[in-house]
Amino acid sequence: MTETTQILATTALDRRHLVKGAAIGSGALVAGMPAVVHPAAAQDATPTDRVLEEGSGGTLVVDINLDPETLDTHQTLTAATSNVTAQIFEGLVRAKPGTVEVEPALATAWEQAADGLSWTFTLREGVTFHDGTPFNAAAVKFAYDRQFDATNEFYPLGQWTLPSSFDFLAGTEVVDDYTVRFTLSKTFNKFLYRIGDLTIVSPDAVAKERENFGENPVGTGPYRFQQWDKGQQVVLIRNESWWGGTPTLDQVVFRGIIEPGARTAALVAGDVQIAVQISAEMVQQLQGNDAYSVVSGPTGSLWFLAMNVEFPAFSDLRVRQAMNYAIDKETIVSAVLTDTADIADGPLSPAFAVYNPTVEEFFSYDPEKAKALLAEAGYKDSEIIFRVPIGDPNMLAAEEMGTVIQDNLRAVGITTTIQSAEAVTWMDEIRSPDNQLTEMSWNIAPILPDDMFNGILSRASLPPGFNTSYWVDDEYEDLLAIGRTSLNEEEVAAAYMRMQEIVMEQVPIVPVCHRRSLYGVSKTVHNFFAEPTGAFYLYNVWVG
Amino acid sequence: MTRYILRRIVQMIPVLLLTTIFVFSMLHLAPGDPISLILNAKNRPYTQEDFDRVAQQLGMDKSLPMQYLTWIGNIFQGDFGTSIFMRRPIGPILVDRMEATAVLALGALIFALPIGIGGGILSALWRGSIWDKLINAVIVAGIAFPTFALGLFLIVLFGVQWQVLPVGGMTSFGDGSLLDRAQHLILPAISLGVGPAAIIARLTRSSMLEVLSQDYIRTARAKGLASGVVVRRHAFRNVLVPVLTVVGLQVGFLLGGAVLVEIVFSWPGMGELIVSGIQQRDFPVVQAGVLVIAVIFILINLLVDVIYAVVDPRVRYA
Repeated sequence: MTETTQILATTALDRRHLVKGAAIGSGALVAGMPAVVHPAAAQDATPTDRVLEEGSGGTLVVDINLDPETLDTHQTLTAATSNVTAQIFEGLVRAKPGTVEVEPALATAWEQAADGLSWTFTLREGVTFHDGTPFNAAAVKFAYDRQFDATNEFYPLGQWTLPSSFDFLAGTEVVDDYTVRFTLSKTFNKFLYRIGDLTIVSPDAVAKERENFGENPVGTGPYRFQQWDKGQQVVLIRNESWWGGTPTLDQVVFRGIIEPGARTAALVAGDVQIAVQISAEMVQQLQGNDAYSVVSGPTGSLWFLAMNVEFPAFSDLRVRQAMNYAIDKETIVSAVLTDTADIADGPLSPAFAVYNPTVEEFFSYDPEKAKALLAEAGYKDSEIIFRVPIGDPNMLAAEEMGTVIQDNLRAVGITTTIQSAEAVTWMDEIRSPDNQLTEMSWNIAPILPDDMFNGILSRASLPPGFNTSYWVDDEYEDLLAIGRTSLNEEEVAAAYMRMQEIVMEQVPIVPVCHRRSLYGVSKTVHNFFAEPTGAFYLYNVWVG
Repeated sequence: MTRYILRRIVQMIPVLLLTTIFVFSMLHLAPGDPISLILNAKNRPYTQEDFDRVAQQLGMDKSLPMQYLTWIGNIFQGDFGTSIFMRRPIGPILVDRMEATAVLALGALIFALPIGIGGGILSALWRGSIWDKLINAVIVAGIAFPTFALGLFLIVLFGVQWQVLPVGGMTSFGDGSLLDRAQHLILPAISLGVGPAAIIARLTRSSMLEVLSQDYIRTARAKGLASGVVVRRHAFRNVLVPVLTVVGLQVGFLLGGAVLVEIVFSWPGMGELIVSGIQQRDFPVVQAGVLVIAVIFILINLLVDVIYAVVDPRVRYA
């Protein structure tokens, strides 16, 4: 077993031990010599565990798998592009490195009104945008108006594509230069987590550049935009006057290489130092190469099978339970995904603070039990159409996994026909009422359970949403509302705990695995960590 | 001649219109649309209102024929529209991308022409020898080897193993010198050029053999001319006529093959633009891209026909 797989296979606890060991070791080294910290070892470390290596400088080339569509943070549509804009733009708050907790960014303090219907933020003073204009309350209001106020001059090119996901916001007002207040139309207990998504742009630059702002982005982040050779690379340089200190890298270059073979080649040839979201196949190719390591971190993502409960075969709870007993997740995760994912026992990954460990007791791989349940249900085998996407990296090795699942199901007496389709076509097909059984994944940060529960298993997300199980449960819906609006933390946690149990009692889905975020990283890169939010920070990273 | 060219240009119009209708229907009738993709980007459920609003913004709430007419009307005014995904006007994007593809296609031709024609002539002259057989084997391999696989193979060999050539992109970051550009062009141009080179070689060989068996060649030889002079003065020009046609067709192949090569080598050309446009259901980009390629393809065919007349004075157009 190579170093990489060993590390991927170790538990979170072991990883922390490894980091501590490394920290002790580094103390004995001569100053100036880089401490030997295997980046993968540090993946789940909390900030106090993280050992930063002294040093700075260098040009870092990051392969983000796709050329950005625009660099306007308010218009980005892909995760690839967010990797770039996250270095240029910032929100009022950000996730504390190594955690999903909120910490100050452009705001230094905040206060929620007693009725929960307004939030007041104290802004950081002395911050300037990359174009030299000051950051202040007016800029925050501008960012909000550009995205949500249809009467704003710049709304047509800045609007948030999904206003219903921010429907709790009613407005914003400038209290004084460095104080801004958000008013809410209804209480929303995760406001602080969401407000980080509201990134702040330079009002001056937006007014000046107009439709070209996406090609000349101006924010407050640690790196500022320098040039964009379309289809080739985006170049950022250090923002010397960043409020958080001097960022370490001289330059960051983002390239979007699409073809997996070419991605590995660029990394191995040294053209690229970090490749984001690498596939299990690339992980295998990098194993045994001493110049690279695989940095990985847990996510809140779920890869699952959605069973349409309105389809006769799946209307029987026992058949759905049998499906859960029939699938050999361990083989899928270890053999097909080479341990680049963790087995899923329930809808939420253990990375969520409200993860309910009792979900682990519901099902295990047990084909005999599956057969017994099917017999009890009087299941009559008929070909079930099993939909599988092609070419969607979010779906991991969708076809190989589908084949194993088909085999597992056949072994207990459930015959399926795989119907593969290109990703976008597939996405349309699975949201039709004829859909019977499909692979699915939902990729979120392990922060807001609501994003998972409301995204795939709620009344609100019935197609055209992604509740392709067509499953709706009244108790679950009530808890969903509590989880969203209650200001009592304990009540919220209890609601989410119970919801996980309801899902496993009624099993409209078969949870299969939680993917890990995977980066191929050159050993010349220091201080690079996979954040549990799915993002990464580059202000401490250096190359040498 | 001028009348002929004009007539051919007028004939282009119905062909192009049919092409646009075909591409437009293919895109819009296939499952999947940019609206859902835009809304799905936030990974949160959306409502029918969200959907309708985005549809209206994109002009996709109108009937399909109406959408087509609006689009084609704008094209006639020189407006290619705005990319749904990049939110930028498509015209300048196409110019950038076309330039890159043109460089790549030209590089491939520069590689393919001398090798194809030279190899074909030599193999015809050495007919039946071991060299002829060897060249033929290489030709068959060149035609059979998939462009895609060849590209990856070259990357692994030259870029990773020996590290003598860059593995992708059009220029190194921070370097745009001619030498740097040439180094980036070599591998993609070879990957793209091998297929056409092989096809040109095969055709040159058979064309050469045919010409060499003609009476006038025998006459020239009978006059006592040196074999080299016979080939250069009497045979070569006649060999070129069919070869030119195939070269013209190969340019079409180059534009198609460029799609694969551009993906493998991260070459910022038209092919890469159209493929990502299809993946993202960026309809205006795909439509404009295909239209431009169709125009170029037709124009090149026209150009070949004209050159034909120049090379072979016997060819006249009514």
